[in-house]
Amino acid sequence: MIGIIDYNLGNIKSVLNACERVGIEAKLNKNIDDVDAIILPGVGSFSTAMRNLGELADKIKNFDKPILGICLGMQILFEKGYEDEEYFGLGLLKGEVKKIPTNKKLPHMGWNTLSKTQKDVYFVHSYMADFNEETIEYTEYGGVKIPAIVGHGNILGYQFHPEKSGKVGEEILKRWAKCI
Amino acid sequence: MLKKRIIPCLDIMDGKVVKGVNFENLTIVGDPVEIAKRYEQQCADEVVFLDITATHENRATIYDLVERAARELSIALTIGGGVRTLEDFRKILACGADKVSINSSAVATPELIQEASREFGSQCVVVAIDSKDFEVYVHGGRKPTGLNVVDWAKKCEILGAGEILLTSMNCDGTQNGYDIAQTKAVCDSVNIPVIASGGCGKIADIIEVFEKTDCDATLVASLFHYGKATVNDVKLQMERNNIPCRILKE
Repeated sequence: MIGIIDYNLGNIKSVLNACERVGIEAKLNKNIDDVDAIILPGVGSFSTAMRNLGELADKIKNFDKPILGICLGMQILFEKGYEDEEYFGLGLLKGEVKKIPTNKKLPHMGWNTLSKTQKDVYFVHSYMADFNEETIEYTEYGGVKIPAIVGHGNILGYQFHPEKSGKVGEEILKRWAKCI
Repeated sequence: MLKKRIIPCLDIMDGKVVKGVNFENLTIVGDPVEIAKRYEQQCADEVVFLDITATHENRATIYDLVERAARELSIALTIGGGVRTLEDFRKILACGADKVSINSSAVATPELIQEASREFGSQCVVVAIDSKDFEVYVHGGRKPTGLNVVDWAKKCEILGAGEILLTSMNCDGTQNGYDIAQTKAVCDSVNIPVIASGGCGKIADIIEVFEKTDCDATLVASLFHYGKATVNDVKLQMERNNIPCRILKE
């Protein structure tokens, strides 16, 4: 069973809906006991997300099973964020989350291409993680290489929304769930 | 490369999709979720439901509908129509919508834009603007506000809107093409995504607005609803004209 962490952020139900559509067993959870893997969903701001996690943050840091962060849930896997205010993240991945350094329109909103697989997936965000050794695939916007899939070991993060990326996104979710 | 989006818009009354000209002679054409699913399969990039239900008692039907649509759809869903308060935002988002669009209520209480974007993130706050000859109108286009469309769009951006949905009343319903002048003026003065709306009668109109303005998406209604073209027909034509778009690949 996969626990989708319910930490009072917008639209976490859409991740549950996507899991149900593709037959992944998942439930919304306020805790991480008794689950085989967790998904950190989330839209909103970095500091709000960390505040809402509260004591759960330490438990997640010590969780040794698969963790998948989506969008803001991916961003808080990193060490620090600078949205609204400087705030500490979970620190499971190396790097920080800053505003996308472009003069193009923000949010970076819509379908964009993944560097390796060349698939189009749906993005909505104005902040991004550092492009570094945690980056597995990236996408390009406004002259910036934006990490799109990040992680190592049991930690994985998607900057895009697989639950809003049609069939491609559902396949991506299924593939992750199979590895659990 | 970021793709230009094609967004079918469904007018909803009492939970059903309706068609009509200028809100008159409305006929029911079907179930919103089924129709939205069909557009999704044709490669629609997002879907908008515009609730035009007149009576307050029937407003609850939209919540059931959003829940059902959010379960079925794997693309982003925007809900607009009759949203007045932060609580309305909360309810609609809790039902599984990804974005909420506000129009008259944003003009009446601009703080709503700010409060909603702080509370739920600017990505879910779409400000819909109805404009005629560069003047903003509210209440379904019946009431002029004296606001200049470019000034208002800029203010929306400052207040935290994530996207502007710009409908030209000069063009809406004419099927003679999008309003290039107003769309360009707004696109050139804000730094958030703009969806062009109103006037689409043929695929060439969509190509034109993408080529002549910096808009990020187009809202399309009758072209699809009357079966004159599928979303994929539009995408193929966009590809031929070198407009970046998402194409179905099997």
